[in-house]
Amino acid sequence: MSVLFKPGDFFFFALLIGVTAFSFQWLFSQDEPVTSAVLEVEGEVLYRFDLRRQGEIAIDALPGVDFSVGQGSIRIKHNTCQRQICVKGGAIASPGESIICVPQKILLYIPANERSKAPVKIITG
Amino acid sequence: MNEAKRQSKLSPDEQREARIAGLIVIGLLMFIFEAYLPRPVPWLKLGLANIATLIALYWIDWRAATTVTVFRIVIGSFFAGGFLSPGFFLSLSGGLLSIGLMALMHKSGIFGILAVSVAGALAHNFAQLAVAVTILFDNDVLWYLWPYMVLTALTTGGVIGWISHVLLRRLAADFESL
Repeated sequence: MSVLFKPGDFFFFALLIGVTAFSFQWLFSQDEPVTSAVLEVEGEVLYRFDLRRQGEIAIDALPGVDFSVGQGSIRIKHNTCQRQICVKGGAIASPGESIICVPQKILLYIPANERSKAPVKIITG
Repeated sequence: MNEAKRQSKLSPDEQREARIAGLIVIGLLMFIFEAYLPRPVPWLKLGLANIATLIALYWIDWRAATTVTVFRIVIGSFFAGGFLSPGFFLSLSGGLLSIGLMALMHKSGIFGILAVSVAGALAHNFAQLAVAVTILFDNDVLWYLWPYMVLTALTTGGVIGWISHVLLRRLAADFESL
C-alpha cells in the first residue's frame, strides 16, 4: 500500500533539487542583449523579427496571426486558433524563451547564443 | 477493520476489469475537468488524470495503470478533439514514459508515492519536450523550457502524489485487495 516517504526519496529529491539549481543557474547565465525573434512554421524559418522596433506585424504567409513587438519583447496578439494558448501566454523577452502552438506547428522564439542577424523587412499591419 | 470491508460477488478477474474501467472513467473526468481550467502557458498542467494512473499502479498493477493511461488518452482525444494529432502523440509519449518510470520506481520498493509521482511528472514532461524538440518543431531552443518544467513537475507531482496517497488509504480501508 502507498507510503508517502521511503529512504530512497532522500537521494531522489536531493538529485532533483541539484539538477533544478544547476539548470536555472545555466538559464540565467544567458544574458545577451535581445534584438531579434525567429518565427518557424512546420520547421521552416518564416520570419525574423527586429525587436528593437515597435509595432504590430502580420505575416502574409501566416494569415490570421498578428504579432505585437515592442521594447525587446514579442507576443502573439491575435490568432484564429481554438484554444488561444499562444495568445494567453503573453510576451517573451529573454534568450531561449518561446511561444509554441502545437496544432499549427508555430514556434516563435528568441534565439540564444547568437549575435543579432539582420532582420528581413518588416511588414507593419 | 476486515469485517467492514466490502465483499464482492465478482471473481478476481471481473473485479480487476471493473476497477480498471472505473479508473478510466475517473481519469477521463479529471482530464475533461482540467481542460476547463485556465493554463497560463501550454506546458503547465496539474495532471489530475495521473491520479487515476497512480491509483491503478498501487491498487492493481502496472499493466492496469498502462491500460488506464492509454484508454484515457485515446478516449480523451475523442472528447477534446485531436485524435492522432501532434498533441495526441505528445500526450501518449508523455503518458507511456511516465508510467514506465513510475512502475520501475514502485517495483523497486525504495521510493515513496510522492517521489514516484514527481518522477512520473518529470518523465511526462521530458518525453513531451523530447518529442517536441525532435519531431514536431525540430529546434533545440525548446530545451530552455526544461528548468521550468522540472520545477513545475516537483510541485504538481507532489500535489498529485499526496492526493493519490489519501485516496489509496481510503480504498485500502474500504476494499479487499485483489
